[in-house]
Amino acid sequence: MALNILVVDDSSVMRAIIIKTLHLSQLPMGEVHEAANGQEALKVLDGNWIDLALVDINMPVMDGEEMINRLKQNPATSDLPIIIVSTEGSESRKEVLMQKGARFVHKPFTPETLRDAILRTLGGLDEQKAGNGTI
Amino acid sequence: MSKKLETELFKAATLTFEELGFLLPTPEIDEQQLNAQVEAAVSVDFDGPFSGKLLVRVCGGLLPIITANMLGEEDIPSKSLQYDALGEIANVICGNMLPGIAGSKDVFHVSAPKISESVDLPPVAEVQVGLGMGRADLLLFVSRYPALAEE
Amino acid sequence: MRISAQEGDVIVTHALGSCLGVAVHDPVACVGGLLHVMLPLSTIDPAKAQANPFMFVDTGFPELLAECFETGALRQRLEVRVAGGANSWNRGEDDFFQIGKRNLVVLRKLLWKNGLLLKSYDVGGTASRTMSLEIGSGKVTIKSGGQIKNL
Repeated sequence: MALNILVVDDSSVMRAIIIKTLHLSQLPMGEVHEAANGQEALKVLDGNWIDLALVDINMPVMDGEEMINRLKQNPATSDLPIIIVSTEGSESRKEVLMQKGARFVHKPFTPETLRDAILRTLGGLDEQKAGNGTI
Repeated sequence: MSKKLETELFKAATLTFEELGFLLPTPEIDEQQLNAQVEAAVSVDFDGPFSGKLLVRVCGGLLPIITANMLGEEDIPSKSLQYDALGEIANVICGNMLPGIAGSKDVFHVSAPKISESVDLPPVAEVQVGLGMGRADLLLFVSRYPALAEE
Repeated sequence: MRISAQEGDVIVTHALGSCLGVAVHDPVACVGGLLHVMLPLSTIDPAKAQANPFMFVDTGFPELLAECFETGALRQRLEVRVAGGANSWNRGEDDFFQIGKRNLVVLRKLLWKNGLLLKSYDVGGTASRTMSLEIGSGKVTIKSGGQIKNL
């Protein structure tokens, strides 16, 4: 089953890094959509079926937290799996976001960490085990 | 206080240049690195219990290399991608530095990066990081610091 | 560095302290290789790198890939595992030269540029490791501190 994925980050380089990681993760990829802020992302979601969203927090126009709040308020998107990819260091803010069902990947990340978070979020796919040691 | 700021700034810069830029940072700057020409500078503003700006300046022909490394490409990326990459580097350094200074309870809003020339205020901390044939200069400016002023 | 396409072969490398052991395996072609690299960049001694490219991550890993592909492995099928990169001291920050970490940074850069993700890894800490690769099954085993595990 091909996965349609939405990548939301105001940095086009970071979006490229995430998209490259998606392709290297050997996921069954369908369409990949990009958005530079929460508002653009909501427009994409309006017109396209998306299976997973990878979302930054600090973005202009509409930040990731606001975007996630809007998604949760809309029955059509309230169950969309979300992975937050951010430098966010505040435990309280992270806790609030994770209680809304989002998984968290901290920047800077290794591509393996992102791959594993995606596999765990989507579930039902063979999980590849990463090692247990990091420098 | 300044020593702690410099330590946290250096730690965040090292982490970011290694993990995102795949470079090998050094705290010692050799003569070639010291004399390296400034290529570009970006800054990010942050606002929380204290507010300010982080300016990141790269010197010595590093920016195309950093960008190509981040993208995992061999070809030299466009200037626009290079500035984007530097902005993201600044964003990630800032985001990782702030909890080191303020603790993990405080919430900061970090603005979108912008191209920066210079800042009128004196920096509260300044760090140089050797990176191959060039270097990165990181300057931390704080404009509102009630909590920091108590330390 | 050793490459093999013989199903019954097991390649072993010992004493991975700050060095990295890199195992690559194509399960369809039944081709595998194991590399033991000591230092991150060959630029510190180009003459040595000419004589022995496998001493350095930046010359050794591309050579490992090239020879595997010549022996019939395909990039898209390649499984890559890494072990080693230990610190000299218990706290990473006390390890002045940080060779283990730097080896890993350079390897990660090359993996990213070559479009490869790690299947698994066992890096860091302070203990030395022994790594072995079974060509027939692709199984990688790590021995460290009296314990054995599959990677």
